[in-house]
Amino acid sequence: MPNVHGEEIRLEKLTKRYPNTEKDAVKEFNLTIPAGELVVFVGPSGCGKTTTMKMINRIIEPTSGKILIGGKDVTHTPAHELRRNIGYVIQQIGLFPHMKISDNVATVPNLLGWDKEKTKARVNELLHLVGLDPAEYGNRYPKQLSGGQQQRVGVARALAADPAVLLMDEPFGATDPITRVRLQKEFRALQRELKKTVVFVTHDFEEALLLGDRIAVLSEQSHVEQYGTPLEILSNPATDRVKSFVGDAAAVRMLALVGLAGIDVLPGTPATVTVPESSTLREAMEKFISGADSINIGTRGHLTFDALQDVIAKTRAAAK
Amino acid sequence: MAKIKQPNLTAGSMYSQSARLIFKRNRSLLVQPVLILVILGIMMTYIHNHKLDIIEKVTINTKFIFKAIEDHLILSFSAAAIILLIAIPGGIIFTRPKMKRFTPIALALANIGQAFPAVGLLILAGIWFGFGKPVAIGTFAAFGTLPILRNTIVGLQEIDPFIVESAMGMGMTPGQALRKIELPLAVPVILAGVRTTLILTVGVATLGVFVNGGGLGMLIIPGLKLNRQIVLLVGGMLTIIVAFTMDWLARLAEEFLRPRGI
Repeated sequence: MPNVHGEEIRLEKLTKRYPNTEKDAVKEFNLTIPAGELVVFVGPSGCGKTTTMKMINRIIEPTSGKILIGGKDVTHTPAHELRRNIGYVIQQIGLFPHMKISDNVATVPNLLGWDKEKTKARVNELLHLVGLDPAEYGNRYPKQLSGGQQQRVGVARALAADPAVLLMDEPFGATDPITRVRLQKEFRALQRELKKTVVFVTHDFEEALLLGDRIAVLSEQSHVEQYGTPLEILSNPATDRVKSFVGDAAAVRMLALVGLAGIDVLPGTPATVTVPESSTLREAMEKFISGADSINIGTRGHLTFDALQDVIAKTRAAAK
Repeated sequence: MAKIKQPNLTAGSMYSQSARLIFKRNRSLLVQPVLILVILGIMMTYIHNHKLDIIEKVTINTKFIFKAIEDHLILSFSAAAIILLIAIPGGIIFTRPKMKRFTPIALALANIGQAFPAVGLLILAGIWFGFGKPVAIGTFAAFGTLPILRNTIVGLQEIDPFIVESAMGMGMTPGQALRKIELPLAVPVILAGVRTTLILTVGVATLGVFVNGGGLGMLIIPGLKLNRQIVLLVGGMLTIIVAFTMDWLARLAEEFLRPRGI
């Protein structure tokens, strides 16, 4: 089945005030999320990031403001129609316990009235996509699966009708650390292929760095402190709040974000230690810390420690 | 290439559970009918070994007893049917977001219905609305509404809110979420309420005799008044047998209708 790529999301002066409260939970939130990008909303708990995300599919109705998806104003589209075109994954997963895995995944296709054969084929395709064998898992019930497997089903269910937009609220937050890292990496690979427009909410900055094409750092009332690529945010935090969120080791974290493929290297490969071109500056730095004087970058050339420092300085300057 | 077995995608099998599995899991479901038969046997033996006098013969005969049982079933089933029609929709309405604030009022009303002494309620209704089966049925319905109403409300409220949120997030309308997700998940709790109500109505239906409604009270009350122990005992035992049978049928329904996976 052809894969629908993402559409741009534009949020204009989006505001939410709950009844009987003094101030807005989300105040005049403006943001444009480019088509096909994964944008992470990151911020302390209670900052309104989840509320903001849930206003996009109107699980929470905005008090005022506008939502545009693919240029179309959907602020007043009937909510259930809007939601059938937006994938939705939440931390609590929310699989339907009385339905088999295959029926859970088929939820939106069934709502859209797809014919049986098409739905069945799509369900099998999706279960394969998230790494679950349909023959083995399709007929099981959610409680017969582990937490990690359940969240894979959650992702498959959200993708079932091939929506352009995907909303994810701390989807991997409830899984154990090992499963979480594996799910994050798998999802990153999946997203590179699918190119959906994804809004991803987390309070885990590491996760934001790993997954985000862009990161929006939010503070109270969903105020945007900074909106930029992970590299931009690490190398040039815009405000003190962002700085405190990024933490001390910004430069070290940045190393993991820069691949060796694009950097300037010295000619020749005279060193005894070699790192593949597909690795990042972090692996290169690792070799220096463990005692190498110089390292080969695949067969393309080599780096000394001074040359590596130049590369880091240049990268930081470029990000600013 | 070997054909890969495709998973069955039909939702029709949602409720089907093999009967053998259910009885295996729940042995007491087999014990209950045996118990019913034992009570029945004791009663029959007792009647058989007793020489009936002329007063006893008026009530202890097949025609009279079957008529009493029939009336008793009409009374309790009609009341239960009215309750189902009121209490389940009521429970649904009072759990919808817009009506939630009225839930305590509805529960309070149902509580009053049950807290009233059944005999008093019945006699008052008889004086106001006249005697006969309809009045008896109406009173029993008021009396037995609480368990189903309460269980429908509780069953729906107990559902993990994130399951409902994800149903809405998938694009279900509130009605679809109710039909496909909320009600099936609340079925076990609702059916437990149905069972309680059935037993309750079978019990109070013995009072139907006070407003000329018939039922097994036709044996119990004369048995007491005329001091005929055998009449009293047969009436009491038959009430127990009917109640036990209802309970058993309702438990079977609970087992078979419970959705799999929960």
